[in-house]
Amino acid sequence: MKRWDQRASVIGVVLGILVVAAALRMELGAWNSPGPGFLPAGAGILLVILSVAYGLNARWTTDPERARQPSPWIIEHWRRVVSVLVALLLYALLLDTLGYLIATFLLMVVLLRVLEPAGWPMTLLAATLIAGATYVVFGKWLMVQFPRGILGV
Amino acid sequence: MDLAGNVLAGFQVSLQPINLLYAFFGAGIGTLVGVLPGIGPAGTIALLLPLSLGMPPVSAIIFLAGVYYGSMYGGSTTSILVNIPGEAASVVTCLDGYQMARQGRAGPALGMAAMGSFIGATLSIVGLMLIAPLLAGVAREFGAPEYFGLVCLGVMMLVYLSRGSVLKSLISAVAGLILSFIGQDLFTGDDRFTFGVVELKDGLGLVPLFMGLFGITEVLANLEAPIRRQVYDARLKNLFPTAKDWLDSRGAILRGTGIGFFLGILPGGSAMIASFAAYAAEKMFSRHPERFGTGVIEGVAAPETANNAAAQGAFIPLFALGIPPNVAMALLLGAFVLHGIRPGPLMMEQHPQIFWGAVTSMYIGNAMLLVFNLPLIGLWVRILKVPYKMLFPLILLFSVIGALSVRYSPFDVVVMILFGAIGYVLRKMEFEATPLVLAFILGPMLEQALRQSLIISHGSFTIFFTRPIAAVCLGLTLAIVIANLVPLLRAGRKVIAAQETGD
Amino acid sequence: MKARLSIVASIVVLVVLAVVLSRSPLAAAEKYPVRPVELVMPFGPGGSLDLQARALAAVAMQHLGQPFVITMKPGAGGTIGTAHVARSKPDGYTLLLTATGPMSISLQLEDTGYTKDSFIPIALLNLTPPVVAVRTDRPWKTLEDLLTHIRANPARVVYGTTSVSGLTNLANHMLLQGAGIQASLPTVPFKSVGDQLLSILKGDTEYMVQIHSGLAAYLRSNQIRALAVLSEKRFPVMPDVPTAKELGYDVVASQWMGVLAPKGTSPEVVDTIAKALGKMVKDQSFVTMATKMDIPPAFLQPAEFQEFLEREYQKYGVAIQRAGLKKK
Repeated sequence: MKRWDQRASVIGVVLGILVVAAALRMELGAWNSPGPGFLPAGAGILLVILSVAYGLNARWTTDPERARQPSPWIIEHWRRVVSVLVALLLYALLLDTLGYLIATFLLMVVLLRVLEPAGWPMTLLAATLIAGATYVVFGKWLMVQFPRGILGV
Repeated sequence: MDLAGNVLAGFQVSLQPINLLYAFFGAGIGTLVGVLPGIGPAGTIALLLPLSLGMPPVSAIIFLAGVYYGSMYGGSTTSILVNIPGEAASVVTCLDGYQMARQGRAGPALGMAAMGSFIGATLSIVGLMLIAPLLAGVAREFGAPEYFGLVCLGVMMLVYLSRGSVLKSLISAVAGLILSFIGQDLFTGDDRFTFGVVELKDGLGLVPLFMGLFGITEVLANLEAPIRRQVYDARLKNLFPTAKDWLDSRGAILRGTGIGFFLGILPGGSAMIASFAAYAAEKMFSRHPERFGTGVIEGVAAPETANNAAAQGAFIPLFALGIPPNVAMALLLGAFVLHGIRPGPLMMEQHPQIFWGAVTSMYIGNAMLLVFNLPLIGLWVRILKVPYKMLFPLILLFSVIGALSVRYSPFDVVVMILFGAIGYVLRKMEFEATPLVLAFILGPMLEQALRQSLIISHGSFTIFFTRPIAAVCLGLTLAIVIANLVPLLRAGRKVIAAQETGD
Repeated sequence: MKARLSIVASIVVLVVLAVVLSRSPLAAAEKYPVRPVELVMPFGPGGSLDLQARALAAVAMQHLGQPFVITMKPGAGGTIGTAHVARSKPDGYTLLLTATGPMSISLQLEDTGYTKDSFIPIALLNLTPPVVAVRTDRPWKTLEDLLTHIRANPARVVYGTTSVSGLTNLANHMLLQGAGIQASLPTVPFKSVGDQLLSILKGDTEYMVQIHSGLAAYLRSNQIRALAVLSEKRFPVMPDVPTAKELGYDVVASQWMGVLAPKGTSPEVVDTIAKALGKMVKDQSFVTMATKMDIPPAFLQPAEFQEFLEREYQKYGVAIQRAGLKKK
């Protein structure tokens, strides 16, 4: 954990520097009339300082209890987490192309099979029901404007 | 006409069967909308406006107002059950409410949320009746410097929201602050951090942000565990808050009402900020602050009471000043206007029956909501028994719909998912999402108030000291900083001492 | 076997053709409109445009034969929704309901994704003027008083606005220039009219230029005083307030609401909508609602609207240059 803390603090420092760099390209203004870049620059600097403190704190102090904990990145079912994330991202990116109804149907099929898959008939039925029901309830009754895909739904 | 006479006249209007019906439907729809993530009272009121055009003015107001304060009841439901805030004002309820649900105490959490909401709302309505004009006067005293002072105080609350390392909370907060800069600068119109992406011109959406960080992250975190371990403790311990729960919460309820009402009055103050502030204040005054975040009942009572108190308080600037403090109220103002009434300084004189009719109807509506919501607790709790393999796709889908319902833009869905991933990483590294969200909200307010103040004062910082309210708030902020700094310094000294003696 | 296959294949082809053709303009050319017409509003809920849109939608069905479905696409001062319509199919089922800002001003300030030629103007539906207002207890009773005060010490007069790159702020620039005031005033931006009003009442800002409908309640209760309206003629709702023009300052900068269609929409469609709108604007219930909002209806036909827009574009183009508001 300690090592990860230190690595994270480096990321924080880098991000902070990037923010300051971007902020400097905007008008900073003066102390008594701050421009758009003023507070972002300040925030970036703060991030750098805090990240350094965080890294040093991780380096110099040892909490015996935390040291005994395994790395947080050893995840028993990481495949599940990754596949759900990937599925969600693809869904979001394809939402406009496929339209809500189809995209949601596909998403539900994938998600329902992540934990203890129940066999294809059940999965397909559930996916259809869920996609269809939400389309009607939210799309028609509650007037949420769902994205329409190439087939117009 | 004296107060009692006004109230009586008001009840004569609001107790008419047709208005009772409108109150019921309005509050009912509001609750439903509050439960559903993403779709908020503002969008719903916008949808219902055309419908309300056919109603007599007072009925229209009763109906639409019901939607607004009703949504403050429903928002906590999903927060508690699945860690997804149904409403921005219910984000903080997730902290302890969800933990309670995992421990099998979803019933008491939901019950306390409902009852705290009722108490907060009712006491606020009393305030609204008694001192609306006076409070309006207070609201008018708040200019940019005063807001700056208040928001600084709010930023201090950040410190109190952290469960773990203060340093990590601060980093989260600064990250939230930086994220809040994305978008068009109010003052110059320049684009900040938008990288040419058109959808970022208005900044990151708050709803996709917190739904990703709270809802999606939670699902991802739950997926990594083996199926054998239950997400929710199957043994249900009581369906309603116990006597002990009530005892523990009495301070939270009272303080929550006060904080909520006060913040609700201010144009720009909101139910969401009230909920954060009440939670933080409760933790600040608690004898066991370290237990907050593990599932303490006060952690639910405080924000839920506050957000309803704030929602009722929000009617004051609308009725007495004609200035809507948020989007939903702006729509209500529109409804008024379409019916030919102009809320504001003259409304109470020119249309007393509308004012008192609406206000008394709020009592009735809140009472209905309490009666309505309590039996539903049994139903909600049953939802938790659905096997997680079916539940989590539904949770994710509702989050998606919620994100879509803000701007109908798939971009927001992408943002939500990205923040779900980011939230997951943050959680692994033991960072907290709450300070990030709070800083994201308060950051722009702080910057705006600061820059506005400096323009008004022609560049002089003394404005913050010559204006009494601002000075008081800043003074309090400083006091809290110092009070917190002392123990930190002591701890720091210990670390250095330990270093010197060789770890 | 082969025969069956070819029969199935032909049926499939026919079905596909049917689906495809039913979506083509040929089928829809029957009698426009055959389905609800989407009216895209590039602003969020609650504003005066939203209310007017709903008032319009309430009377649409009777005069058009189909309802208006209002779609909100807010963001970036109205430019996101406007750009969206510019890119939409010009089949007459997606129209833009918008105001001055995105059409005449924003596109001259930055790259919005559309130009003034991206649309076919259909009709203008109303005109509301900005009002120059101060708190009632301030010593300036006329516009001239205020301008003299500003001329004397521009750096000390704090001015508040809700639209840094929008209509009312530009109108203010035009006014100041007309008065010969070159220096820029300390300008406090606000997110809403409410904040702007509170600031005036508190005394943090000295004066404001804002569309009348946002100020109506405070004008009526006499907490703020209108010094002038920035319209061609006196505003019927406030007949005692002179126009800036009368007082010698030729600043006309009214906010308008109108309907436009994406370029390429057929002239028949434009004509149908224009006629229907013309009737809607005279519809009694619409007039009643509009009057309650203090926004008297007006009407300009497509050709007149086109000319109007051209003039507006020129007028604001000149003002933007003179005010030195850079084009990003």
